[in-house]
Amino acid sequence: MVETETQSPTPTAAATPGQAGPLLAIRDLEVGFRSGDDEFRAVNGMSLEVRPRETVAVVGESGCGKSLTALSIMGLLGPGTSLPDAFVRGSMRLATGDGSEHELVGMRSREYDRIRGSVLSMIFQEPMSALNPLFTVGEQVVEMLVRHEHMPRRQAWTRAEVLFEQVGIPEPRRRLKAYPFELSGGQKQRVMIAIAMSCNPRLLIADEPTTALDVTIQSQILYLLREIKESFETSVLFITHNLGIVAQFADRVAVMYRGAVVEFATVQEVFKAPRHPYTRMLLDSHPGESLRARAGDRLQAIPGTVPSITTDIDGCAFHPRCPYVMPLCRTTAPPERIDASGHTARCHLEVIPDAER
Amino acid sequence: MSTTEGRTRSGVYGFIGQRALKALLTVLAVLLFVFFGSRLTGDPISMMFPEGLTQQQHDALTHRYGLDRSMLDQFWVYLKNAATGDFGVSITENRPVTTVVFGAAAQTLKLGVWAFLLSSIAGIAIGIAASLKPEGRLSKTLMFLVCAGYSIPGFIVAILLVLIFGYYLQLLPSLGQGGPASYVLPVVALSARPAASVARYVQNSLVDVLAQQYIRTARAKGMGQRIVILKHAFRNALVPLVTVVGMLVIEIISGALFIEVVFSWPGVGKCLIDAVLDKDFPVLQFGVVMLSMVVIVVNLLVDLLYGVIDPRLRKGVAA
Amino acid sequence: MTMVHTVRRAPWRIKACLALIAAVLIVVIASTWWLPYGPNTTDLSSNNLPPALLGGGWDHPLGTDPLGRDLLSRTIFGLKVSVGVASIGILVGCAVGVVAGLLSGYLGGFVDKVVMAAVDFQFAVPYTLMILMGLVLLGTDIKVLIVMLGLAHWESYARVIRSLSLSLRVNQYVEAAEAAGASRWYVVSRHIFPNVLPTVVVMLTLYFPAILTLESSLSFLGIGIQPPTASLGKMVGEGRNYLITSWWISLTPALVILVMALVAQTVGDWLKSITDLPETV
Repeated sequence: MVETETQSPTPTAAATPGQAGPLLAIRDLEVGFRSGDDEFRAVNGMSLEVRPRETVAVVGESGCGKSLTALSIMGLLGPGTSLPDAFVRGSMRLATGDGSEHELVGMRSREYDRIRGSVLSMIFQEPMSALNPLFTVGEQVVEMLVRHEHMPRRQAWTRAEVLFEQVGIPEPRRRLKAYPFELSGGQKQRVMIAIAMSCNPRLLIADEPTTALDVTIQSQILYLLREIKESFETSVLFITHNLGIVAQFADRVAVMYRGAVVEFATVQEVFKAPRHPYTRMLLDSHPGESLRARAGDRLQAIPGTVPSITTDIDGCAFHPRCPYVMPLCRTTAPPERIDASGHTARCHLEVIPDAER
Repeated sequence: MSTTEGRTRSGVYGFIGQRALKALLTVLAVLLFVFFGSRLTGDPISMMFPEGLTQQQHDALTHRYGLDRSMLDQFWVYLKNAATGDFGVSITENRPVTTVVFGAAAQTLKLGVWAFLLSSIAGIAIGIAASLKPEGRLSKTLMFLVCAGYSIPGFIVAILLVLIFGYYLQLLPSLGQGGPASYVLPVVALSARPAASVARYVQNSLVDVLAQQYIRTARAKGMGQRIVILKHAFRNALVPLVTVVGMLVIEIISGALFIEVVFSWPGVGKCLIDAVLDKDFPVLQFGVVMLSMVVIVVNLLVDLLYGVIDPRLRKGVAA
Repeated sequence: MTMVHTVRRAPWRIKACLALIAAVLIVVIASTWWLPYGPNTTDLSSNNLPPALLGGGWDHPLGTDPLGRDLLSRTIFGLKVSVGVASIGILVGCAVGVVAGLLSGYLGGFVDKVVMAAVDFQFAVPYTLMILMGLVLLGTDIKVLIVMLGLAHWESYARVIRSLSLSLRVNQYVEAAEAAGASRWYVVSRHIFPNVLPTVVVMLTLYFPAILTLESSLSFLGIGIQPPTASLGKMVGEGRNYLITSWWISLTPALVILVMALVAQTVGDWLKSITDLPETV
């Protein structure tokens, strides 16, 4: 049977109801790039939801569109950003906690500015380049507090010191005056976390926050994130390609392939009884201590490579690499099947043969 | 801008010392160049007296000016004189060269200061405005104006201004020095290209900075577009901008050479051009040395200013 | 090369500029065989005539100057002179700069230090001043003038080429060639130079307007091209005394210079934007 390595303290299965409705509901999201008259979609019909106080992981290989999804939730695409040719379509509804819901797609810049940092926040993969090199790290926290919470500067500096302590930065008061280049990668990521959490956001998006760090630091940061998410009671959308992290950290997991979610369920269910062939093959190919492979088993590689996003594929996006492919798969895109416990999968098969061990 | 070396040795003093030394060496190089250039390519005596001399007069003068001594001796004499401020006498005006050139420089300074202010302010403003909405109509018009200002030669701008504002509209005087109104056309003409240079530089710099990750972080923090540009982007864009100050000085000096002639403004530009036309070598020589020194000193100050703006340099780390 | 393809996808402004440049080149080349009048044929009976559109008659569509010389012919001739001088000059400077950069980057060591010292010096001192000195010392013979004008940006070529050859030098195929015993000369000409060529071409386009400007500015002052040769800058200078009465004498060549410089700069900027050049160029 599958053993997860650490106990996850948060409830599994259905997350705590506490608030009616999900915190973030993404439906049929399309994100792509225009070039002349062409457009190609890197995210094609993606649906996902995050409930309050829950951690949802998004896994997939490089190029499946997970980072773009994160950027589009934050509204960091389109004209006036570093990706001006990108477009976003579909629906993303965010509940901001005062009872109101906002549609993020097409939201005006000004409104987005109010939400970013205060309701939604994000930490990025490369802490090296994510901080402004000409300002002290303390200043970069303080400006958040001043802007969103309208705190007077003195108070903001004190609060920043507290935050630094919470994220585990030693000698926080001294560190406030430091410049980014004086800090190590791990410390910079801690600063990023402090910045992101400073205004108590409801949803923290973490885009592969540990990938660029040393292995030893990785687990420290993960541990920190787990503590933070509990003490701040925030939801987390965690993007990663590392299934081991998913096992330790998330409540539910969404598996992405070529721009769409192919499976979405609680971590236990996905690991124990995956419903999509791609998920199953991901698990089989992962040399995790805890996942599916038992000692002595052969690792299975997934045949083929992810086809480029510019080539179109008819029917199910995964069919060229799927070992269970049927004629139907080549012509018709599979529907989303949801079962009683909320486990969704996009596959024509009801059940994968030998899915459970 | 000089090629940047690698690590500085010991923080601030090492930084200043290194730059200052380089500047000093460059000044020396200019002196050497100017001095030996003139001695090697011709006979200074015949150049000073183009009407022709008898061999006797020629030899006498050669001896009198010490030109029959060795090169090194001559250079040494030159340096000694230079240290006491004696750079010779103008052939055309029979006054000490230093008086002539410094007097002219003062006039140029009057124009130059205004041109400097105008170009920096206009250039930065236009550069920022053109970056805010790169696809907008304002941006495109501004970009065109900038391209025009940058490519059209200074003397043509000057002549056009004279034609339009001086003669046709009879608005502003266009010759010589006079009251404040006579400053307007020359200053505008002098500022055209420097302002365009600044605008181009600001724009390029901003575009580079805005593509950086930390700008994305700032947006992710909910900072509005205005704050992001004015606070985060601008200060980072400023770092290379300081080089532009050096550029400005060079361009204003070069521009003055031609524009002063068009407006008959008695500045150092007109002075040097007249010196070329009259073959007044001592004046030309000193003028070149002096202006080069100004440029070198300005560049040195700019380098030092970098240290203030970019904390990485202050703390002794290679940027 | 995909040159044709690139041109086809260019914005219409660029296409217009390129068409204009082509037209100018054709006119300039054709003028060697045919000009309405000679550029220096004087005709004192019809001096200072205004252009046709302002009542001067179509004999001289652009009017005449104080010596009765036809301005259309003079302008075309002047254009040829300016463009010719600038083109040859820029090639000279480019050659010097490229060779210096290649030697500096590839050979390194002492050669590198010497070249870089020269480059730094050139950067530190405004070149216009040096030209003024050169003009007095070396005279205004046209060959000397061309060389001096051309050297205006040699240090930029040198720097860019140097850094390019430095990075190319450690490229695998260069190391392989060296390991196989290829002579330095061979490596430079076969491996490094062709990779450096596209950059050089773009730099040439970028600096061309600057040389053109420099020549016309100097000629305007009377210290560039000497009479009786016509050059656009010189024509503007000659017309200065007649600005009030016969302003067209100065204005026509001034406008030609303006348009040429603007067009050349636009094309240069566009080329730079579609290729990868270091920002210091």
